[in-house]
Amino acid sequence: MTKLPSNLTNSIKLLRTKLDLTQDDLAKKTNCSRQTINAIEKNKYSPSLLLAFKIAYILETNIDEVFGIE
Amino acid sequence: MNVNYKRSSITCIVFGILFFYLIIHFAVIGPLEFQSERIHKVIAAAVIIVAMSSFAIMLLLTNKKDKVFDERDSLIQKQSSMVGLMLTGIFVFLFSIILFISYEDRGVLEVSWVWLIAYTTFSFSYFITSLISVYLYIRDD
Repeated sequence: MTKLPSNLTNSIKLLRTKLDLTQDDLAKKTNCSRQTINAIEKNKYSPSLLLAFKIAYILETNIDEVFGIE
Repeated sequence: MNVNYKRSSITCIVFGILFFYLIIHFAVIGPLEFQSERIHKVIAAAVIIVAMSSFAIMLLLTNKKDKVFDERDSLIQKQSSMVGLMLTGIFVFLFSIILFISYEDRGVLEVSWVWLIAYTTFSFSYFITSLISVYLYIRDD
């Protein structure tokens, strides 16, 4: 039986930098705290589906471009 | 440091001081003197009022209308409340059972112990819940 991937990865920092957004900018636009964005970027916190979609929307991309599992 | 982190830190300090003060004050004086001398109850009540006032002022000062809803804060509050409730239950159980074992042979217990259980349970629950919140914030930062 194959082992399912279980670690969430993300490319928020890369996409955010492309759009010249800071963690604080992204936090304000998604209505959460900068600490939450930081925790998500560092893979210390898995966001809710709603917040994940909001982040993808602000970063002008699809959710699967922002988040992945390995 | 966001608002909830600040609130948890201040709550932890205020109720931590209150909790340890009540324990030390009671341990130094003893249940019989605490029960008979009114002044000890007055001093303890004054300290409790100061702690509660500090807590209320802190809540008022950190209450901002434009506060953002943060799901990570909610998760941390939920986790700390859950663990805090469990630890408070254990604290009350152990406190009560130790008193029972200690006073079992005498058959009677000074009523001031009940006062101590009530106020330490109250302060311990706030102290431990906020301490866990602070720990979770530090761990994730």
